[in-house]
Amino acid sequence: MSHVDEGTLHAYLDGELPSVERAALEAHLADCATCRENLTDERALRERATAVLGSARPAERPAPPHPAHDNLRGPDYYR
Amino acid sequence: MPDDIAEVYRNTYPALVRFLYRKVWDAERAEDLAQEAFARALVHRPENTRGWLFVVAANMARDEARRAAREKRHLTLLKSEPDTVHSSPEEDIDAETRTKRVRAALDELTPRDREALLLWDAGMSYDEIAAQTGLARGAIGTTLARARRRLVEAYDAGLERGQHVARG
Repeated sequence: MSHVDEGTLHAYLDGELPSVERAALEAHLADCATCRENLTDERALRERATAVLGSARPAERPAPPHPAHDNLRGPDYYR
Repeated sequence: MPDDIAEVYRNTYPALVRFLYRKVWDAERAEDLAQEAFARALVHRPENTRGWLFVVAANMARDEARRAAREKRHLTLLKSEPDTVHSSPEEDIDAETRTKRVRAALDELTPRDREALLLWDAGMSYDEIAAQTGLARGAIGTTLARARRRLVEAYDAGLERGQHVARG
């Protein structure tokens, strides 16, 4: 197996790699220091990107009553 | 009210607001649009409510951006005085500056990379992102890797520029 590309590493970190590919990747990682190092780098990048994106978010407020509850929402809803 | 929409509403509302916020950059407007999307879902009763909501929300945000751009053009024509600068507490300035930098960094991404990243952040799976963006499922990892790298690089470059401006 040649070195693992970054897309596969991100899919692995995202928990989105199909089980067969995941098993093959983990077997490769056990033997390949370069890919382990790349995985560490990509993990750090992924965390950093999540933190950057997470720093621009609206204040979390509880969801208002479901729109179907017209009586709770008031007559100006469909403005 | 069908149970599934109520369930989706409870589970998806904050993620949909967050997704919209990063497109319209106005928290109140993002909430209004999210509510409107859910109201439309009640009328249309789509099969895949969650996926449908994000498609509708993305379209509404696009319309909103076009409308805002039109209004801005009109205002520029009408107004000759510069925008009023409101004073805010230090933490608000920081939050505002940070948001501006994230927004500028997101603008550096291609529309497709940005969409994939925002959908992932909203809690969508690779299958859902593929269905939404038309990308092959196998390409999502590469797309997200590129989007994350570009976001971080652009954000850091913005920070550096900000420091230069502050020093200069």
